[in-house]
Amino acid sequence: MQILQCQNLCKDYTIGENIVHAIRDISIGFEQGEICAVRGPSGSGKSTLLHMLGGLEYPTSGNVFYQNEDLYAYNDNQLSILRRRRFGFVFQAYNLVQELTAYENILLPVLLDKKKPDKKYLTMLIEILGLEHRLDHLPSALSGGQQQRVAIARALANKPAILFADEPTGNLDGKTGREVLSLLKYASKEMGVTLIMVTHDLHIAEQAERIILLEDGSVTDDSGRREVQQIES
Amino acid sequence: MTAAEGRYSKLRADISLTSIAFGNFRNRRRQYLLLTVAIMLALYFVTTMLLFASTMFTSLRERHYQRFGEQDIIFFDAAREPMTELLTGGILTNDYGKAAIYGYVMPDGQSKANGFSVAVFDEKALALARKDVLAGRLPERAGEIALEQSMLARLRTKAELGDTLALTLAVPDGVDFLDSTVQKNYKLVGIISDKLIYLDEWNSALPVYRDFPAGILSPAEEITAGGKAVINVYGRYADSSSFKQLLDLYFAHTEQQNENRGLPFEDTRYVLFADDSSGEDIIITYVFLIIIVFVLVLAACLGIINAFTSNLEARKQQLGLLRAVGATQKQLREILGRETSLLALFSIPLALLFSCLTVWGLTKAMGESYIFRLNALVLLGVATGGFLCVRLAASIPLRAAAKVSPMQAIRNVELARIMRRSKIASEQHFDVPLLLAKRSRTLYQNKRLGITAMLSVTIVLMSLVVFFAEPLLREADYHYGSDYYLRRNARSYDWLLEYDFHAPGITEQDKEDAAALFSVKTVRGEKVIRLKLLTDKVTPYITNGWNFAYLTGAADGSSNEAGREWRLKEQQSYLASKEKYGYKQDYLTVDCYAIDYENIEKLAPFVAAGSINPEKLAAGKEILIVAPTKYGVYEVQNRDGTWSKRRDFIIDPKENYTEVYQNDMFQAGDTLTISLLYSDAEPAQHGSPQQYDADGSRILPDDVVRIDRTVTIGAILEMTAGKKHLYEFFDSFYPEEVGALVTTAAGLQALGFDAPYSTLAITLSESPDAATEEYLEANLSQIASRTAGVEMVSLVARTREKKRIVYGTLIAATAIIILFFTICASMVNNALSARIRAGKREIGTIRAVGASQQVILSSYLWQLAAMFGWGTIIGMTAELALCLWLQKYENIGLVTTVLPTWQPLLFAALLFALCYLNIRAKVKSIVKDSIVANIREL
Ligand SMILES: Nc1ncnc2c1ncn2[C@@H]1O[C@H](COP(=O)(O)OP(=O)(O)OP(=O)(O)O)[C@@H](O)[C@H]1O
Ligand SMILES: [Mg+2]
Repeated sequence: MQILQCQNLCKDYTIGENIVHAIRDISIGFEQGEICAVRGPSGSGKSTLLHMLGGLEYPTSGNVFYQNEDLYAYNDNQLSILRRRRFGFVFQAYNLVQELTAYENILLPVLLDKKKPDKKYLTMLIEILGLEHRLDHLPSALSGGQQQRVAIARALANKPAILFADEPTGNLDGKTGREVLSLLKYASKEMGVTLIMVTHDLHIAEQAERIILLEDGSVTDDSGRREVQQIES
Repeated sequence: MTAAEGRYSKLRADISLTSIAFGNFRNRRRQYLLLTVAIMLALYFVTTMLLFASTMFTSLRERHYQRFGEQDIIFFDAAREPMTELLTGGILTNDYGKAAIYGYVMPDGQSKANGFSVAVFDEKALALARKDVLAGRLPERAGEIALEQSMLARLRTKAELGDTLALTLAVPDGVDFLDSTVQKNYKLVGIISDKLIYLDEWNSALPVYRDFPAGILSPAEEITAGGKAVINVYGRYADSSSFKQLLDLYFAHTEQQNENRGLPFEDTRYVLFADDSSGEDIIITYVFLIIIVFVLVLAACLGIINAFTSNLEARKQQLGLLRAVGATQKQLREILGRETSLLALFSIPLALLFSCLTVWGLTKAMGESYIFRLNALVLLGVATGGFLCVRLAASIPLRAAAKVSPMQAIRNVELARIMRRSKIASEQHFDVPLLLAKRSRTLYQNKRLGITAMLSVTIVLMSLVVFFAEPLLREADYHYGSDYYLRRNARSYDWLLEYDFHAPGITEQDKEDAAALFSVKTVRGEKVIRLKLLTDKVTPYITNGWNFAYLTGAADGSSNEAGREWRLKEQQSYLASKEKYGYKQDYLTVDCYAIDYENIEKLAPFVAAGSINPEKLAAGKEILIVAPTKYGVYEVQNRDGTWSKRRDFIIDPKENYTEVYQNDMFQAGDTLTISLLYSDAEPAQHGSPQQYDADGSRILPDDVVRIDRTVTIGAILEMTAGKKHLYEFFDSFYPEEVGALVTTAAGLQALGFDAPYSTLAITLSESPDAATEEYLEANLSQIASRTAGVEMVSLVARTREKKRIVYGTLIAATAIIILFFTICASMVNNALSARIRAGKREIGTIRAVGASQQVILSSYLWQLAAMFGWGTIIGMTAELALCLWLQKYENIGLVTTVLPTWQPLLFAALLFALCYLNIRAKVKSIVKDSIVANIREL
């Protein structure tokens, strides 16, 4: 069974007279534990697709099913619970809460769920991401890469079923990028997290089991399915 | 770079920046509109208050001038020593005016007491004395006369302009008067506005005979052969001079060392707070007004600063961008400063215009006696002050905003800085909304300060209104029991003699005339005469009364050396008077009130012993005496540190009395000898009837008459009965003195002490319409002006005026509270809305992480609560402290008012609810958009 599916997904933006067809009739599905990269030129609709799959933006038409349940038939509260329990999202522009420290940002989804934080797991996450010494900083005092890593930690903090990541390594140097990627892959293999990530980086994309190519709002290639390469950490 | 290039680049930057600024104007129209409205509202209220105060001030001053004249001082008989020295002493300006008094008109042909003087005025005196011509003209030829309006009534004539008046004149001769009076015929050519009747009231406590000429003769007139004019001077104080200096100079030139014996000049200067009988109300109103104006200015500045801060806050990113493009700090400040100036230039004139219109409307609505004056000083002051305020208020956030480095604006490092300063550490376990609220509180604390201040001030103001509303409304509802009074001026107490027994007063004819007027229901007459109680026994119960110090010569604690000496002299004079007038016993000089027959039985609740028998009172067999069973004396400290004695007629168990005195002097059924000792001598030309010799002893006149009567005390009266005070049952002023006698008019007559009325209390059959009121006022004041020193008091008008002041004050206060309420609400709203707008992306983020709308809302609820918490606590504390202080130290009859507690809380709750609803709507509208829309926004 596919954990996430979309059917005839369309998204139009209307600006005055012009209509931008950001996504045109996309129907694809994702297996549990799958690692999938979305590629495509700038403005092709990668972020838009990811947002809609993650329940952040209403489609103009079409549906998104999470475990065969229509996401957009949920009410706000149900969707909120789904987001904090099942989904993790890493934004292209990180989007950290400016008033909260790095640690608090990471804890946010857990505490929104009124759960006790799993200290061991979080410590591991933080160590792998190399954030031990930045935990008490506000986002505005962090570098772009650090912010991105906090965003990743936040997305993984609640052990999500699906992790959406918009350019998760975009601001990282090669080494850190590889480390982050291996973390994501580790999460995918150990916890069965489905990973859907947007990336420009061919090297990164090549690590994925599946590469979806997006052009002008349509999937032009979804054939690149293969075994995941083992990357040494 | 060459100079030309520099100029070029600057020019180009200017153009682009200006166009960006103009773009701002367009894009942020709503914000700028709000800003303009905020500035306008603030200035509007301040200007309105100031203009209104200045209009009130000029109106009251104009009324004073109309009644008393524009002079600061009037000298009587200025040719006399030491007046000439005073004139040249530099205290008056040199351009004083003179009036030469040629004679004293005696309406009945025999006595000056009810008359007035006629004089030749020079130009300056005419102008200063404000002898405005109401009809006709000023006299130009000998034999012509112009009279003050009321003097026709005083002469009891119906003469009109052009008629000839035959006047009996006493002509001054430089020392006294010519032996025989002269008959003169004058042609009445003009009616001038009343001054004498007002000036007579001016210093009514002193029984001093004054000359304020009320008739004007032409400069061509000549004084009767053998006569010598008395010169009065109308002057104004030179700058920095005052009555006090004049007094000092006067005392330096004479043996007289205090004002007790009257002065040869009268200070009639306009003093703001000592104008009316309702002076205290006016003071309270003005103090209130001043506080409010002050608070308003403060609030206005706060509001403007707040508005600018949130405006610039929202533009911070853009400013950073401009900086990135290459605008210098100076340029940014210039551009933004120019925007502010434009804003000010647009809103200030509008605010001023609206204020003028409002005050104009208000003064129109308040009636004819209030004149709207455009006070250029106020307008100019507010305009420049407002402009500076706006620039200053704007410059604070402007300066901060212009300093922002491009990256700072984009990355919001400010937060990190504050965070480091306030040593925030990560929370291990937290409630998300609470933590968000807590963080915002720490990080945006400086923005909350204004709100807290504003909220506290609003709560204090609103509590004050609540606090004052009740006593004010009670005051407005007070009913005097009558509608008009015709009242003889209050007399000063004199233990020696009755001077007014045969003096002209309100007559039976006057009473009948008043009763005959349309819509008059009853006319109650009351007479007061000074009598002596003869007694063998004098106890502290009576000597502690205010008026009986002459018995013992004891001075009170606050007296200085001179005061003590004076008291001893008084006692010596008293002993001499007993000797001279044949009193074997001690005498207590008291007032005897003869009240209406119908009214006497209303005193029944006050009876402590005996009973009121109207028949026996009327027959002159019995009399009532005010002698409370006991009274307590306590001391209070005055503001200048001296101590005064106060008396309580209801013993308060909590009060710490220095002494409680029991009535050990009077018993019902006792026989009492009462004695009238009077003199018909006319007061000397320029002084009080109380004459003293060189060493300060009382001169005891020879031509006095003594009448003794024996009566029985019918009843002893208490000073109070439940909540009622005895003085409320007298129409004349009753100073709550122990030993006062009460009987009926018939009783007084039966005793042979019949005197003119001192007060007529007139009650109407229904409340009068405007026309009736005008008719009644005209006729009653005509009756009043028949007799010197009688004034007409319209309680109808006073009640109305009181109501108007009270309701006007309350309405104004409510308007101000509403204004403050709105400023508060808009400040809270501004602060949180700006946060919400700036936090849109964050709301999106938190939502993306899985927060429901409820979490976001409760985070703002907490922030709101934090904003309100301190403001409410500080406001409530300040308010309670202020009200307690007012209750304790300011003796303005508020003791019964309860402290405002639930009202300010309710007010805060209401404001809270309002802000919450507004924020809820805002958050809802944000949440309605998709998360991505939230995040993308910027
Ligand atoms: N809120 C919006 N309003 C109008 N157009 C939008 C909006 N959001 C996205 N678009 C348009 O939709 C198209 C797809 O945008 P999207 O952000 O998905 O591109 P992308 O593939 O993520 O590009 P990049 O690689 O640069 O991030 C673009 O042409 C963009 O201009
Ligand atoms: Mg994108």
